[in-house]
This record gives sequence, structure tokens and C-alpha cells, in this order.
Amino acid sequence: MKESLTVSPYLLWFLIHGTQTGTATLIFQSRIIQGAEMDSWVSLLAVGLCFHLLIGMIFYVLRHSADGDMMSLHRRLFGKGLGKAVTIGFYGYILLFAVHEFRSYVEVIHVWVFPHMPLRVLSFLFVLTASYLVSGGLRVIAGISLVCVALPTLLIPTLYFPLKYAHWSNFLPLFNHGARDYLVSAGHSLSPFLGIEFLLLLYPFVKNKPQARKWAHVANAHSIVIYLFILFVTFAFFNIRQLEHTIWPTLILSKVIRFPFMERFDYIYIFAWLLVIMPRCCVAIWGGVRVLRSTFALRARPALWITSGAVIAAMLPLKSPMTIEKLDFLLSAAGGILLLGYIPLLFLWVFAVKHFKNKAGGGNESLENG
Amino acid sequence: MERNEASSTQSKNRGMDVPKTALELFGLARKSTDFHQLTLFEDDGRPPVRISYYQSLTDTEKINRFLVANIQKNGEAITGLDDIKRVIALDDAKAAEDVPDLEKKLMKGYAAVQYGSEAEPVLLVDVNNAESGHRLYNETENEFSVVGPKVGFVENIGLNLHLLRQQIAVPELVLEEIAIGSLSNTKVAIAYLDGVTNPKHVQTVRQRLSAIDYDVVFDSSLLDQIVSDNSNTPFPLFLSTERVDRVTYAIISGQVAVLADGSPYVITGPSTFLDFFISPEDYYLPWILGSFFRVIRIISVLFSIFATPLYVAVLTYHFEVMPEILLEPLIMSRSHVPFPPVMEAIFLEITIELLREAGARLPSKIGQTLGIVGGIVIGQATVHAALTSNILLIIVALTALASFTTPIFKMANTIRLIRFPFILLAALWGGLGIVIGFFFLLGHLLRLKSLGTPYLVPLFPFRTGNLADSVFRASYRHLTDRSKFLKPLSVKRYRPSEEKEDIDHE
Repeated sequence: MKESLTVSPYLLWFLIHGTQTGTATLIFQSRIIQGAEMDSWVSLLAVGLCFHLLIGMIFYVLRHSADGDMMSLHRRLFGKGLGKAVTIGFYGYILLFAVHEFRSYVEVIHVWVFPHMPLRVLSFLFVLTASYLVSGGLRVIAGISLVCVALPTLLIPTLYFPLKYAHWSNFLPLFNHGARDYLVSAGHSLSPFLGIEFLLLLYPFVKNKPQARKWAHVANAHSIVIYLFILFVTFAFFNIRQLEHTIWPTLILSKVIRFPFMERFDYIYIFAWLLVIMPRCCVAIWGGVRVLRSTFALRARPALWITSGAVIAAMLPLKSPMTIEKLDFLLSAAGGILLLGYIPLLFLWVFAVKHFKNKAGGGNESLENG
Repeated sequence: MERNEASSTQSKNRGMDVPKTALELFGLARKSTDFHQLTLFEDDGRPPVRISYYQSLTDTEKINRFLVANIQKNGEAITGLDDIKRVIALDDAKAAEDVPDLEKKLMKGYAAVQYGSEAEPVLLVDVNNAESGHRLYNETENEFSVVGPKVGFVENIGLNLHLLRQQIAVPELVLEEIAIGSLSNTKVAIAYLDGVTNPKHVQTVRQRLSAIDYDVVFDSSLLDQIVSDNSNTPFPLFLSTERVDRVTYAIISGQVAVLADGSPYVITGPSTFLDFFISPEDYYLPWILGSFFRVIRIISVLFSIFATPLYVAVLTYHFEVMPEILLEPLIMSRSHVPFPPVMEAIFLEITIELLREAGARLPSKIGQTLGIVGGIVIGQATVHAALTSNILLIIVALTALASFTTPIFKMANTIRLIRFPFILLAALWGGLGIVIGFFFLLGHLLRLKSLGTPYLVPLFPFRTGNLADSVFRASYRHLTDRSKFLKPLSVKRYRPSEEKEDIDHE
């Protein structure tokens, strides 16, 4: 990897955290209460901690790949043909990831600001912006992520306003749900944490690999803290029954905020949320470009056009708001399979291969980057 | 005619036939009436001495008193060019290396002295009159500061180098000279601090400058554009200033300065985005005030870019954002305006641009009157004629004012320009358009590099070590280090004394 293409390890914090937060941050509260209700924060915390474990696994797996990324790993484990097929499967997941994010944000815009703005205009606008940023390379994406994490952070103090109407008794009674309820909540807590899987592609672009691991954990911890905080404010403000029927609890929270010069602070939230989703979409499209480049030996620009075109083409037929629920379900199912099924499997496989090789006394040909 | 090799390297692509011999050269020069040739000892029977020079470039005083008088006085002792060199009282006298050298020097105000009847060799004597046609001082009218020195650079590079050497009085200040311009042969100097400035930067500047092929270097800003890392950007990638203190500060921080003869503006690089919002006054005032004014300046830039687009976005799409008490005066002031907000805003912005442009082109005395006429009369009249609303007039006037707080003229212009795309985006997609515009702006800024250094450093890549002098300016106690992103060879600038006030100080 050329030195000029790599980014400092601390930027992994913003890249990963920026990839995790998105439109899910607007809606996750009303999803995860299905099950453990006001105790669902326990599930959220548990899933977050579980993701730390997954990050550990991803780094372990990557350290034993030839080039430090997913494509080389697949080639090594599955051979050339099957490896490519699995990688293309991941490309499909990347497209789903980007389409879901863009379409959910378009829905927010449709419902809250511009009800009559055609879907195709918004799709082109967002995907074109993301493509422009991606065409600048990973350094530009990292810079965008830094700004897009720093600026929305300024919104967090405004959550003080809904806290003025807090009912602290909403949290009570504590822990009166069964294991099954917690599990249901945990299932719904997956989607806000999705995004760490892009480590599989980002890793070779990070300078100083041993430090990268630390920053990836920082990113996930940051996400946990942000989600827990928003969840606490939401629970303090909303009644559980009310929350069940609220689609975007975070935006409803922001409607309470009022300044003498500004009546509807939710507009700031909505437009600032483009900052929140953009790193996620940029990293996804960049990931798609990476996969296409190494799998089909394409050049960067055509790969970018193909990926952006595919995202737009996939978005245009999704006119009905009902499709978003399906997208949500699809993404959390695919993410669940990828992160809770595939990555532990890879981990076990690589672990077993290494163990077996060590026993057989074969030469240690795996690259020890760490 | 074919050009010989020496002349083609000297004057890269002049696009004309270049004289090959001294005789040809003098023949060409004689076509101009200001080219003088005088022959001494013509009737004495001794070998004649012939002096040729451009009268318009030379100092007649020097020729008469030091050159002609001395040669005549020592007429008997002269048997060759070496003797002439000895008797004349001028220090810069050398034999010409070749015809291109002779041509170059002749055009720089040298006199060519020939001995005997043969055309070569030629002795070149510096009788240049550098001062004439140049101003001798510059009061930094365009980058004014109340506190601090008001010495500015002038058009004469000799004087400029003198000003620089006066400020940095150590031999480590290295000045390298090259000539640029196939027709102008402009003297261009690269200045840097040896042992501090990273040699990579010097090498990049040297390489890019010597690769330039251009005819006449009118101003250093041309060099700025030619050597720039990216020519398709409205943002200036090098800082250009006429203030001596600014250039000195840039050099001691480990940057490279480029001076061009005939230009009062010196360019320094690598520059970062924040450099353009720093005024020397920030350092002359106590750090609390300096920081305060710097923050005001940065806020005013943001205001200047986003205020009008926000007005357009709110009044076109998001009027529900305004509280009722604010909405009422807004509606009142717009009730008779027949245009959509975007046309109103563009109309006023262009009016302000007209005033600015006309004010800049007119002589300063008329310019002031124009400002008053434009600002008060036109402003009032447009509001009365219901072409624009009062409130927009206030906003546009404030943004214009805010854009002029930027100390560097080039950056102030850029900021005036980039609000127009934002206004259009706001008119198309409201607040969403502004955010999209912000992404394109940020994406563009993140790509820019100045001499290979990222433009947005220390904000991105984020460098904590240099935040003491970025948006804020900390006390001198904390500004001891040079910016690390410039990769200076030595980081420490000075060491403040360790004495600290203790709590039991009496």
C-alpha cells in the first residue's frame, strides 16, 4: 500500500463511528423497545459489548490474510472462484447498506420537509454528492467523517431541552422482563451498530496497524455511549406506549427545542442528519469500489460509476414508504448473518487453520502484520 | 535561420530569431533610438574603445563620471579590456560569456565595452539605473494594520531583499535567484531559512519555478498561479502579501518565500486555509484580544458565506422555522416585493459586487463618494421601489462588511464568490441544498494541497500540537514551537523564561 493513500490510525475512530451512526440513530428507540421495553437499554449495551468482541475477531482474521483485506482472505480460504463469489456476495450487502441508508433519509426528507420532491431528484442529489466525495479517495472520506462526527456532536447539548420534561419514573420498574424479551430487543439493537464490517476493507489503508485496533474499539465505544445517552433521554421523555407509535423519536425530541429566533429546531436536526449519514454512505460506496477493483481488476473511476449507478438504480423503484420496513428487515438480517454468523465462522476457520499448521510444523506463511 | 543551442536554453521559446553574434545583436539594437554607442579615442590613432548601452536603462551619471571619464583619463595606460576593468570605478564588470549573456545583461542596464576593432570579447559593466520608475516606499495600504510596522514591499526586488535581510539578520537566510520569462527575464528570488525550512519545500519551489515557460512575468501572482498544485480552484493556495512582517513570519516558521522583480507582492508557501484569516495584528495585541479578533474574523467568514443562502432557504421553503414575532416583520418587509427571494438576493448581491468592483477601479477619492452614493442612495431607493426587502438589505450589507474582514485580498474575493453557488443551491433545495453545497466545498478543500501539504491542516489531518495558534492565539509562552505540519528541521523557535508567578507572590 502506498504511503500517500493510507490514513492515520486515529481516523479509524471517525470512519467506523461515522459508519455506524446513520438514520438508525433517528429510529432505533422505537424498534428496540419491542421486547424488553424500558429495560431494552440492557440489550443495547450487551449488543454493543458483543461488537467489541467482533472487532477483536475481525482484526484477528485480518492479521492472517495476505493483503490485510477481505478479498485476499477469501482467496486464501476458499480458492479463486468461490472466494470471488463470496466477495461479490459482500458487494451485494454493501449495495443494500447504501440503498437502505439513502432511502431511509429520503423518507425523512419526504415526511418532514419536502413532501413533493421526486425520489429520483433526491437520489441523484445524494448519490452524486457521495460519489464526488468518494472520488477524492479515502483521505477525503476520512476528513468528511471527522467533520461529520464533530459537527453533529454539537447537537447533543440541545437534548437538555427535552430533559426539562423528563419523567424519571419511566425507567421503573427495573429488570422485570424475561430473557426472551431481552433477546428480541437485542435483535433489534443490531442495526445501529452495523458498520464495523467495513474494517474488512479499511484495514490495509491504515498506517501503524497495532494502533488501529485501539481506535476501532474507541469508535464502537463512542457509538455505545451516544446510543445509550439518546436512549436515556428518549425514555425519560416518552411514555413507552407513546414510543411504540412514534416513528422517529429523536426528531420528535428535537421538536421540543425552541429558541427566540428559531421555532422548529427539528429542521436543524434533519439537515444535520445528512452529515450523519454521509460518512456511512461514502464508506459503503468506497467499499463497493474496492471490491469491484480487486475482484474484476477494474479501474477506480468505472468502478465508482458502476457502484453509484447500481445504488441509484436500486433506489428508483423503491417508491412506497412500505419498502423501507422491508429494507430495514433485510439489512438487519443480512448484517446479523454477516456479523454473528459469518465472522465468527471465519474466525474459527482461521484459528483452526493456524492451529493445525502449527501442529503440523509447517512454515508460518501467514503475514503477521500486528 | 537556425537557433544555436546556447540561445535556445537561455530564452526558452521567444518565438523569434535570436541574434547569434555580437555584431548582429548590436545591429538589431541600433534600430531603437535609445540604444547609444559612443567611440572613444577615435581620432587619436590609438585602438578605439567602444561603449554601447541602452540609455533608457542606464544611469547617465554613472556612465559619464565613472566609465567614460576614467577611461579617458587613463587613455595611455589602456592596452586591453583588463586595463579598462582596472581603471573604471565600478565593481560589477565582467567579460561576457557568450552572446545570450551579453544580450541579457544589456537588457538589464549593463554597458558593453569593446576594445579595438574586433567585436569580441566584450566587457560588461553594470551601470543599471534600478531606482528610476519605481516607488521607493509602500505603506501597506492594502493590508493595513493599526499597530505594528507599516513597511511594505515595493516593485524593486533589490529593495525588497534589503527589507527582508534587515528583518532576518543572520546568514542562514538564503536567497536563491533565477530568471523567469523568455521576454522579460525577470529576476525571481527564493528566500528561506537554512536549517529550519524543510529542504523538500525549497526543492519543490525551485523545481516548479525553473520549469516555468512564460513570456513576461507581470506580477508574482502569475507565478503563484503557474506553480500552484491545483489551478482549478477558487481558493488561493499560496499566501501573497505586501507586508514585510508577514513574510518574515512565514520564513521563520519554515515556509518558503518567492519574490519577483516588479511585484510588490511576495508569495509564501506552503500555506494552509487558516493562514489566510490571520492578521499580523493578532500578534501585536495581547493574546486575549488577538484571539477574540481572530474568532470574530472566522465567524464573519461563516456569516458572510451562509447568511444570504439561509435567508433564501428560509423564505423560499422553511418559513415555519421562524417564530411568529420574527416572521411578521419579515413578511411586512417583503409584502410588496414582486420577486422570489432568490432573485431579490442575487440582485442585491450583484449590486454590492458592482459597488465593490467600481470602487476598486475608480480613483480613491471618487471611490469614497461612490460608496456613499451606492450604499445609501441606491439601497434606500431599491427598498422604496419595493425591489428588495429591508431585512435582506441589512443582511447583504452585513455579509459584504464581513467578507472584508479577511486580511488577505485573494481569500476575501474567494469568499465573495462562493456564496453565489450557495444561494442557488438554497433556492433549489432549501436547507438541504446548503448542506449539499457544504459537502462539495469541504470535499474540494480536503483535496487541495499547497506544495504537497494538506490545505486544511491542522484541522484535517487533525494535529493537536499546533492548536495554540489556529483559531485562537495563545500567549507567547505557548507559541514556542513551529508548526509541525511544515516539517521544519528545528521545531523550537525560542525558550521563554521559566519564572512563573506563584500564589504567594507579594
